Amino acid sequence: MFKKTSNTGKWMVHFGNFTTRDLAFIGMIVALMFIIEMVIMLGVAAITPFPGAKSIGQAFFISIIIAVGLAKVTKVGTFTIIGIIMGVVAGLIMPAFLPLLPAAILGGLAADTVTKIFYGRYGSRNSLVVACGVNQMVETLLILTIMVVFGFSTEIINPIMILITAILATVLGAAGGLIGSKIATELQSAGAIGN
Amino acid sequence: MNMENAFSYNTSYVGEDSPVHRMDPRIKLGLVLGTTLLSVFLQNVAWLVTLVVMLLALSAISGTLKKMTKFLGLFFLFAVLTVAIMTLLTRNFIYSLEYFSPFFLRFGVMVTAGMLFAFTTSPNHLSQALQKMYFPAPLSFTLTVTLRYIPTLANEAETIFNALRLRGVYPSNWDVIRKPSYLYRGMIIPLFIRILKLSDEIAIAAESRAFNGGNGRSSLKNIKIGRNDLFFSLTMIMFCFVLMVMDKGTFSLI
Amino acid sequence: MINIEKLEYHYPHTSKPALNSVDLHVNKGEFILVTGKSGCGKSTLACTLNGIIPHISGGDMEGKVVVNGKNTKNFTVFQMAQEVGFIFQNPESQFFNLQVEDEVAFGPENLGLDPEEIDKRVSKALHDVKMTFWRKHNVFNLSEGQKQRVNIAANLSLNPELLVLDEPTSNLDLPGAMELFQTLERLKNNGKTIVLIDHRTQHVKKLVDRVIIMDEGKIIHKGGKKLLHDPEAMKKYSIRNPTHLTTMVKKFNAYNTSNISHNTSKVILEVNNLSYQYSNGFALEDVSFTLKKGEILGIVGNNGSGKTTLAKVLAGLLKPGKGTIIFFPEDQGGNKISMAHKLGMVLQNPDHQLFMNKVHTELSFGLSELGFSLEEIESRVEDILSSMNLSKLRNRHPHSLSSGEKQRTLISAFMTRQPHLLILDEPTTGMDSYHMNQLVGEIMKLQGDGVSFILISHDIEFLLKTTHKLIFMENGKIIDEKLTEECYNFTANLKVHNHFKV
Repeated sequence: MFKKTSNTGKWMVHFGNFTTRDLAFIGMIVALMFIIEMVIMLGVAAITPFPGAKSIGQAFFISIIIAVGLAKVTKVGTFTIIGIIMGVVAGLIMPAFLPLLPAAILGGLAADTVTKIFYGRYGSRNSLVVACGVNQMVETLLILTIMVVFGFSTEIINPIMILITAILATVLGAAGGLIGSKIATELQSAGAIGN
Repeated sequence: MNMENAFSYNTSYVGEDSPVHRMDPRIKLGLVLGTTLLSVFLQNVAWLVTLVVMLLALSAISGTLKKMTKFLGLFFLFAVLTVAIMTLLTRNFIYSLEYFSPFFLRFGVMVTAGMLFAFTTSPNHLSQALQKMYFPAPLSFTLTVTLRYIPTLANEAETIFNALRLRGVYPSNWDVIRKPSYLYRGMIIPLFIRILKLSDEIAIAAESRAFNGGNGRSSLKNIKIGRNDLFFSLTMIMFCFVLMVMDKGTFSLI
Repeated sequence: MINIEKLEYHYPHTSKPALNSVDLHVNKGEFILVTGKSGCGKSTLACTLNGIIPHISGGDMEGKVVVNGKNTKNFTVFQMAQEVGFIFQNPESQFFNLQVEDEVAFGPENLGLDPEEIDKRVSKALHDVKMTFWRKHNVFNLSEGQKQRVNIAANLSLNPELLVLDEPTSNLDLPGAMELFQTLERLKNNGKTIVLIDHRTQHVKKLVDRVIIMDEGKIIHKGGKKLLHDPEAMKKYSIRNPTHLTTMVKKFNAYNTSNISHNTSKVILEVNNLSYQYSNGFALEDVSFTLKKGEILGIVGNNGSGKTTLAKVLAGLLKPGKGTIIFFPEDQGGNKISMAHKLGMVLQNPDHQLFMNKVHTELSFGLSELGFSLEEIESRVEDILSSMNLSKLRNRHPHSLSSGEKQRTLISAFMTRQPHLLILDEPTTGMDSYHMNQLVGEIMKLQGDGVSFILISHDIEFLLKTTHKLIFMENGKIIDEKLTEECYNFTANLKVHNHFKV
């Protein structure tokens, strides 16, 4: 997917093996993620000063949705696309928090890489659990580190706090992946996802 | 609970117009990146405040200030709460305020700049700008779908919620903890069924109208960087430069 | 223009063919109506015309489909797009842009044309559907009929010779449908070939050149437009035909009125001066009516007249700004009965309302919240399963059912709560006459058991067959109230159409 080829003199990345159906579906998945993220942000983050709360609060639910998306599309690269789109939406549009852009992209890329190495494609329960866990870990670590760079109180965020938050997010992410794979199985029985 | 209203900001561009709306999205993107980076660099609270005021002035020009206040208010509440909690912990209000104001001002710069971009750039312009910046064309389509369907999905979620209520199930926070199946059964499954159906319809509709991965698309309205855009960028660069110099040359006001 | 030979098609993972030895030849400039029962394969046939089948849907396709000299097997959907315009049921879910002109430009932009050419095509397409005035408007602020015309323009901008329309009128009210058919007439006169998939035939009689009737994936009848004037044939192939209602309606009305003619039935619902206002300014104003036990009330009006808002307020989904809703006004303390026992409401799209993974658990969903014991729930569900004819489907996944079965499951789910009133919002959207009559039968049966109904619909045929009383709404107000019998005479005089603002 990240093969770069020269086409009419311009460098571009090829997403040739993603069909229009896949692309539209991923778009909808991100739209749903965004809605849930907004609800959690208004509900959770507004009442606590600890910035990691949002990461923990969303890890589980967001991972459920991503896992269903991965189970439907199955192609490696899906997570990166989700990361890029989510990053652009959350980083530039709402809540316009720029650091989310690199964090989301790198989180997706990390999950894709791990899946490529260990599973080859998404589909099995384990691949979904691992991918969602890895994504949450990388994303949380990055976000919180960037907060420190921005000058957030190191009395509230210190390395140990960051580590604990990341571990919690990872566990919740993996749990979300597990639920997501269950949902995907049910959607198959409803005839909504083909094999 | 009117979900559609809460997420309707990206279906309300048509008819809106201002010098800021007409600006090339790439310039506005530069403004977001530039001011964010600058805010990390600035140490002095006064100049950070100046930067925020400048961005608010721009949003006032674009006529989006009112829309923004709702979100900025929430952000402000977050900041006040944080300082309050910190005061409780340290029993020192001035210290807490000093400690947090640069952080929240930087945060504020970023959020204001981001919203200025979001509220004055239509999804159509955004995807065109991204395409010009070598953003992969298929992803541009995915982004369009995401932005276009956020309000639709919020609406779908509301309808599903209504259907639950009609069955006598009022999922409150407590119910969800007591019986997580209500969230799972009541919201997630029907939402996914809708997403799967809608995305298939979208894909078929797009291909029926000659969409082929988005490579080689042209555009009815081409965005291009004009004289106004250049003038604006120059002003902004000068403004930021002055702020930087001032910041280095003065002592902390607080 | 179209040449189909020995076409056979199986959807993925199915053994029954969705299309079976279909042969069809269509000449340039013809207007073809393809009709038949739900699930007869007419939409499937449409999807083969631009290669959605087999390229997007998958499955096995045998035989040959050639459109304008292109074999769909060798050309993908986006390559066929310049030959075939494809218009779907619900335009709104397929708009990618906010502004009308951007939406119409989407196709030509995909072809990579230069801006001047795109602009020319957009202007022409909008002119062809008479939407030029709306060029700079937001698509979401248009009426349903206008949206569907924008949708047609968005296809016309690719200059296709053939237009395929798959049930384009099912979300449209009468004025919207009339506008659409006027547009189609113009396009026909401009020489376009048009294939219309629909089970409503009242509007197309003038335009159609040939009628194709399908059943079980086969073409079972081909004929000229005379077919649409033959009541026997219409009945045989269960095609909707509201102009031949006379006998049916009389029969049903005789049955209806005998039940409540004594006027001794208790009033179960009294609505006084109800008002509601949305933030966008649209309001429900001063609505009052009463409903008796076993009475069926129809609410009629164009899209956006406030019918659904009224139903939502009645069902407690929206809080009324002013006015009162009183259940069982004759009984003291009638309002103590729980909401779920008072009424049930079936929303338009079943997909939003089915939650469980089996039909029988769907019926018991939420019952425990109402304080029933497990045995009670069990026995109620069993009763309803057998009385609503769902026993065979009890272990199926509700989302895998057909749309008629889904609706039956939903009505049953509310029946387990033994409500006094059921509200159905547009229950016949996309229904053929066979399934509509089945629904009419179900409603009549429940009405016989003493359940009252409020039916929201712009399906005149359905309303005339079921209701005792009709309320006409416009701009959030009740503008008229009539007994259905009176309205029937109206239809004969075509006066009822005044209420639909034609």
